[in-house]
Amino acid sequence: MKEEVHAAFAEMLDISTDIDKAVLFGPSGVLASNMSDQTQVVAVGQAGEIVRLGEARAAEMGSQPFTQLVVETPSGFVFFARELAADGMGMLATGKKGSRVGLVLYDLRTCMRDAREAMAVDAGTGTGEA
Amino acid sequence: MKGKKVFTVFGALTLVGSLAAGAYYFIFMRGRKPQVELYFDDGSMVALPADTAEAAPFMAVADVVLKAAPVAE
Repeated sequence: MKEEVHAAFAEMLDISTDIDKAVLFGPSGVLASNMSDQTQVVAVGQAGEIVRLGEARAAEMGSQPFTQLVVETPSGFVFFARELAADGMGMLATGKKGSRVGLVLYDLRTCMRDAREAMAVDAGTGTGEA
Repeated sequence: MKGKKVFTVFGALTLVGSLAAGAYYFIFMRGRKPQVELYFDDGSMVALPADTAEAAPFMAVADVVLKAAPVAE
């Protein structure tokens, strides 16, 4: 995994005190996470289910593509955000009770944007991972 | 004299109304209720109350995630 992506992820966790656990992933797998390996597998699997449900809902409503989700439960929050590109990244996070929803979603999107920029620079300089 | 009485009644009614509104807010509106919020590419959002059938699959996913990764208090 690329150092810059990890740096963007770590910065997000530093800035957003509401986020507890998070996983950033792309089509090739997990890019950064502060979850255990076992939890990552569960989280990425459930993120796929969120995308499926969200797209179904968007199709029912005839709306624009589904991009973000917030679920508030008595035991905390679940946040999800994704890029819409074919090779787009996604991010699933859990948040503490009373999380500031707008700020967390903004932080997730900023992290994905920073990770995307870091990966683009790597691709441009040919330093990306094989 | 009559004007003063009307003014007193008006004040009392205003006080009672304010207290009733405050009580309503405190009981029903103060806390965010569990819900699901879906956002779409054009910036629109749909909020589904947690106890509806439409929200159930999303709540189930959230339960799985939070069971696997409990939020630290």
